[in-house]
Amino acid sequence: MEARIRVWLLFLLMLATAPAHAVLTVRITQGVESALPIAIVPFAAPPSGPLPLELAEVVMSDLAGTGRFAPMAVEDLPARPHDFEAINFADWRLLGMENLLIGRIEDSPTGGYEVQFRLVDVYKGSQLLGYRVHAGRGDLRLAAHRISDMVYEKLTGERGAFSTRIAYVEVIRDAGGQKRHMLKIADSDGANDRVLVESPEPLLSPAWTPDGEKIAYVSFEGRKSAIYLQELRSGQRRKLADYPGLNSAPAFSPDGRYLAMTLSKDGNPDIYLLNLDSGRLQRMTSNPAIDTEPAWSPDGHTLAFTSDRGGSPQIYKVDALGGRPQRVSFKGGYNARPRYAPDGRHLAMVHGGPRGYQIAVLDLESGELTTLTDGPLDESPSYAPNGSMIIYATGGTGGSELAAVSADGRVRKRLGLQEGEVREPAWGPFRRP
Amino acid sequence: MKPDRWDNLKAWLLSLGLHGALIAWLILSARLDVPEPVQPEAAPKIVQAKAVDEKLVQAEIERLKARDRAKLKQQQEAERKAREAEQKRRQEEERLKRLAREKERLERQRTQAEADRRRLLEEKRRLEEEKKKALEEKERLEQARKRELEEKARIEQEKRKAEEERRRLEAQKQKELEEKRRAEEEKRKAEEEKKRLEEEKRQAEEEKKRLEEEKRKAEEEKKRIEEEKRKAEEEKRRIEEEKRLAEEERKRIEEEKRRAEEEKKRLEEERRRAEEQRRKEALLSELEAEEQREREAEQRARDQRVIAQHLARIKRAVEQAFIYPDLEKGLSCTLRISMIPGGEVTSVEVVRSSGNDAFDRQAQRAVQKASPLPVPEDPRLFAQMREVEFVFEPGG
Repeated sequence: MEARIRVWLLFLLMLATAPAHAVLTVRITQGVESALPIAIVPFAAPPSGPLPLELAEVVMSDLAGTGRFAPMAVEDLPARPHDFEAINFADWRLLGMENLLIGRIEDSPTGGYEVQFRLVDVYKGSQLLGYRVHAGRGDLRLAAHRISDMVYEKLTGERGAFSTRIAYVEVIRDAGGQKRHMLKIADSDGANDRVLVESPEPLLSPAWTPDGEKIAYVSFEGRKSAIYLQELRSGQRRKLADYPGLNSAPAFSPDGRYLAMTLSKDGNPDIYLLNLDSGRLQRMTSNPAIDTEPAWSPDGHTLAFTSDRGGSPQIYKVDALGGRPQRVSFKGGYNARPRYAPDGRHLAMVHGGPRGYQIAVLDLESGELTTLTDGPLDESPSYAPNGSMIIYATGGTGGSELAAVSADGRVRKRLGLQEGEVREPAWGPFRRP
Repeated sequence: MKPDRWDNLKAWLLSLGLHGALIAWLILSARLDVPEPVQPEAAPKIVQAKAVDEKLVQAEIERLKARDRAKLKQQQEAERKAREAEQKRRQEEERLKRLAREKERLERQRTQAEADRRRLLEEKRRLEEEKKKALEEKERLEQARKRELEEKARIEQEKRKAEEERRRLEAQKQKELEEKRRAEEEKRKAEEEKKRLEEEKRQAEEEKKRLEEEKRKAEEEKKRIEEEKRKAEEEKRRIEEEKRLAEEERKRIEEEKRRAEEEKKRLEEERRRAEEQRRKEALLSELEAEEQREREAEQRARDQRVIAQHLARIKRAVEQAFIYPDLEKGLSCTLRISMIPGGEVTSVEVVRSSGNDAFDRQAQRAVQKASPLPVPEDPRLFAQMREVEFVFEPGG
């Protein structure tokens, strides 16, 4: 009975889908593989007067920096509407502008600003996104990054990471020729930096906790390396590891319960796991070679690390529960400082070749290694939490500075805002909205 | 109450008494021992020294000493008297105790003698009693034995009588059985006789029947023979009749055969003529149809060429408008669009989504941006491409 009904349904379905005459089909097999056109109209300023920064410019810079958007130059804008009703869609269509971002900034009765914005689909003539964001007087930049996040997510389908932060070490030589080491955090675009720790002795290897509330780092204060954990909000810190010998390369597990690091207390440098709940220390590798720079896979099951056990530095991986390490990188004589992409399928690393050191990405499924940068002294890659960009330090004539490259290598930019020499950037996790 | 418990209680009571006594004594003696508060001696008075005669002093001392000695002697006398009195009292008590003990012993002896006498008397009476009981028992046993013998004799007697009765009954039963057997034998003989007579009667009747049957058969045989004779004559007549009919039939069939042959020839002729006519006509129409088909095919081919050209132009236009940013790989979606003459797109519908909103949106936009699409002006041709499906599969 049921089978018969099903047959009938199938028959009716065929009737319904079978066209009276065959519909012509056009297959679109290619497109213009380019950035999405978007026009960002400077937002209407509040009655209180001009703003300390042009919010639309921050959004424009954010979106352009990913290589996936082509914002229209401000001077080319055919009109500068601030309200939906004021948009003349035909004008924008003529220019092939698919997306339009407009908005106004108003003074908030509670202090600060109310930023109201709309993302408009020019061809449909409808609103794709519309929000009102509150921003404190000093938070306009963060508000701009949050708007960038929302636009990015709407138009690419992926979460934006513009409102995240980065941590890095900056070294300045002062007038007396003395070095000053600073651990800093800044917005994802390198702006808005502030000093977290300052020391005459080296500071190294900042590592974010998964909740983004604390940073672990290595300090040589007291002429000997130790790992500290510092709260961003309060500045309070405590010592996590101070074993004899080397204490370096901290990395938090994705669940935040373990700290992987390199210790040499038992002879030569090996990878150790510290259970942060119980304080129990567990040795992960035990090899006469140097094992260092551990990195967690996003699922927390695997640790990748650098080891010269094969004669030259290469990437190895080991099960986080223990076991025999396996070699992962095979191309070239130098591969070090691995970092997993958030998808867990790619590994960024420093790849050494005849033209120096570049940032490369290894596809863990196909084994294909793609070089993203051109060196000659690029180091410390770190993925944005959405995997779209990689931040790294690039060596230049005047020392090294911050740079970012899109995960496919198509767009590179130097953040170049920092005064001193920049090392070991670490991209922080998503921020809670 | 068990004796040991009683003893315990006694001991306890005794102990209690003793302790009581002791405590009482202690209290009393304590009271006695309590020293009387001593009146503080009066502070020494200041004595007015007086010069006294030495002799007078000595005499006074002597006098005091003599008085003390007399006092001491008197006291010793009193003590001795008391001791004597005490000794006397003790002897008296001892004597009284001895007397009491003697009296008690005598009393006990007397009571013991009395008890012994009573016990002997009792024993004697008991023995006599037992002797009497033994005699009675003996007599009772004698009696019982006699009764038993009598009983035995009576049982024997009854047993004999029962045996006789049994024998009598046995004989009687034997006689009855004999009688019954004899009666049955007679009954059997009478029945056999009856059967024999019946058998004889039946045989006689059968014989009679057999004779009658034979007679009937003879008559039937006679009748049958006569019948056969009659039938043979009838058969002869029938055969002659059939022979005549067959001759007539043969003649009729030959006539029919001849007529059918003639009809067949006529029909053959007619069919041949019709076939000829039809062939002629078919040849004519085939030629016409062929011409028509050729004309139509040419038209269709022309149409299809034109449509294909326009579809290729549409594809180019849409592909140029399709901005395909770095989204997920391998995405694909299908859109169905409608146009009005002139190629303006009036509706874009996602028939099958890629699952990625951004990708679907870019595909829709590509079609909208490419509108109006290049379509043929000929309304007949446009009618064939009023609706078009787009499959977006970049890199596919």
